[in-house]
Amino acid sequence: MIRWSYLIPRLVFVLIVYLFFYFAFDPLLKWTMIKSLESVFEAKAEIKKVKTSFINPSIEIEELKVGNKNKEFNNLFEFKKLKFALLSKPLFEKKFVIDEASIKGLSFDTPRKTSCKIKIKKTEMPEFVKNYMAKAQDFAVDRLGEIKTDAISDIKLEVAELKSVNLLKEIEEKYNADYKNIEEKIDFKKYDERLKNIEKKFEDVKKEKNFIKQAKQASELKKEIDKFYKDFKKDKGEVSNLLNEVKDYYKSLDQARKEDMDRIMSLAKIPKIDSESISRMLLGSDTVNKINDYYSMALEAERYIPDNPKKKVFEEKRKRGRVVNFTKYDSYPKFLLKIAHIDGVLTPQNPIEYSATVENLTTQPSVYPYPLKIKLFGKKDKSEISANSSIDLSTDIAKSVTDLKYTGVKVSNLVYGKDKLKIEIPSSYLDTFVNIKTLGSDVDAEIKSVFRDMELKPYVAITKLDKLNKTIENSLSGLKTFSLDIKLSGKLKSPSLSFKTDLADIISGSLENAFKKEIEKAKAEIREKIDLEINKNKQKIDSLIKAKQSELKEKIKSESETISKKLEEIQKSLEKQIRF
Amino acid sequence: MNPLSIIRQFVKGLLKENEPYQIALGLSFGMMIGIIPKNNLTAQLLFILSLSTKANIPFLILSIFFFSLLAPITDLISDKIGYYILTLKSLEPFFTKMYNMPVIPWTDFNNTVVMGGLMLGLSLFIPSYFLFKKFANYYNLFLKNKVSNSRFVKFLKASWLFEWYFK
Repeated sequence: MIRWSYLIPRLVFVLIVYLFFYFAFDPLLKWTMIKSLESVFEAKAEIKKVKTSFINPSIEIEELKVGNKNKEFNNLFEFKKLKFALLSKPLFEKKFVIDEASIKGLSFDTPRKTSCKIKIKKTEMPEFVKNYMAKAQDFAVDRLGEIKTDAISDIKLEVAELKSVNLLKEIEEKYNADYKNIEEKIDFKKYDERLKNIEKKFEDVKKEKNFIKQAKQASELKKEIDKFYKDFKKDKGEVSNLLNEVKDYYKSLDQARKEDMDRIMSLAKIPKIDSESISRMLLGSDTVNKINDYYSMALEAERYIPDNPKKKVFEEKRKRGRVVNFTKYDSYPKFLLKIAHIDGVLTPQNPIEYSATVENLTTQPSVYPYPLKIKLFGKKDKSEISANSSIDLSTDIAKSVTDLKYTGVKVSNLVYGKDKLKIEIPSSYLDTFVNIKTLGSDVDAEIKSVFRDMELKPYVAITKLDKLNKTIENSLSGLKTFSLDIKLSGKLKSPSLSFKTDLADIISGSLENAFKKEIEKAKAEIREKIDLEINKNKQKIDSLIKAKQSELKEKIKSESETISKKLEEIQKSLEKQIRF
Repeated sequence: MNPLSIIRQFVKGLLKENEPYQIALGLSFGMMIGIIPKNNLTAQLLFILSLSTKANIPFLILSIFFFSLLAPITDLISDKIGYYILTLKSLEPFFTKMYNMPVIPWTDFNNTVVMGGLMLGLSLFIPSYFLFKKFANYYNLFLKNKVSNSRFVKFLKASWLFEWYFK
């Protein structure tokens, strides 16, 4: 009943499997690891040798190098040797438990001879990073555009639009009209009739023989003369008033001049640029790109952490079906690395020899309820690095605390910002302090970096005015130290970012000061131009008024003298006549 | 199984070992394997078990393919059955014991679709066996000659590789 036709191929298959593991498994595993690393880090990965053993399950990886996607000829990290052994018993339970692992010679940012660029589909930027970049871009485009159009030289003074000048023209027209009116009023010919009448009446008084009648007539005539005087004086007063009214025109001229000034000055506002926007413009892209890299790695790591680690029976999402886990007595999680010892030289630029330990790394913290701990320490001369991290995923709400101190780091050839606003730091010392706290899905992180003993080469072309750009450059080039504060808070998946750097405060301040000076200068020039224009027109009107007034006054004088003389004569004769 | 062996068994199965009970066994086993995920020890053991019997191999393979295509639909039912069984309080000590045994976790018995699919397959195995037996009678009467005279089978039979392999 044995189906030999079935059994023989199976035996052949077992032989093939054995040969495969003997000859082809290690290269295949090496290839798979390289591809996985390349997919995670989006850069070329290299491994010199992978050696596995199945009798005592263990893996040795030699000379692993992972390129930095942002620096073509640099490795993100590399190590000389990684070695760990899997415990055999848990392996039969489909559990991967590593008692002790060691990584020797782990270094970061090491140079490489060949390019690490590869063609791979890039990880999509998280939404909050996209929003941030767009915000920074908007700022760069809008604000720079505004600075250009706000340039002082663009403030035009249109004489035709000046209210004060127009008012002066109105004054001139009005005065001409008023002059005509006054001239008409000064025309005392209307009194000629009354004067002739008085003269006629005076003749009648003289001719009268009857004394009583004569006295009565003389008295009436005197009354008439008095009334004439009164009327004449009233007219003369009115004319004088009209002549003096011109002074009121200048009262509204002062108001119009003030309005003109205010309107023109409102065009010459100092562009308000807050330091947060400048920080974003200057350091935003580079810093956010770095944060994005670490964030992508953190999200990748998060994929291996269950949603609710404390739940006794929890479900994991799989391609098909759900997994129901049962209580394990003296059990191991699916993956556990009890302790890993890591040592190496940090970076070629800062060759700090460090040692680190990673404890309790697991994919099932509920089964192995010990917090993941990372400790790192290294020191060389004045440079020092220390890190302490505790990530507890075994409780209802996952919490983590990470502190990192990296001081006395020598950095060189850093470039921040681009195009219109760029700073180059040929050499500097950098102190960085990081504090990250997470509670459930909330994050609260603060990163403080201090650049000191620094050389700084600024390049500023944010305004059209070279002088202005130079002023800002000068205020920056003397700097020896500046700090950058980054705050990350809110939900882990969409945190809000804020930047603060005293470098931006300096730029913003000097930009404002420089603009202030320019604007004050421009304001004085404009004020002068307006006054010149007003004075020109005012002088014209003044001379016109003066000429007209003296002409009119002369006319009033002569007319009133003639009338007064005649009346006086009549009055004297009348008095003489009555006395006689 | 190497590819040539599969072809050989396939053609042989179309012409020989096609008694109705063999075809029905092949189809029933195929149904059971088809509806559960294949990346676990349960599916591999079922496959070995089915091949160790006199089940018709081509029909077994065709059945696995056919029922694998139906898996997205059957998963909806088997997931619920599996979850119900795996969360039964009375069975918890038994499953916990299994969970703590070596090798057993490789069977993915604690996956709802594996457990549900296995239970669904086992409960449908006998009824489907009789149903497929009727189909096998029909195949032998009306379809077998057509299949053995088909161009594909003739081509395989005529090829020098096939001849050489059967020598």
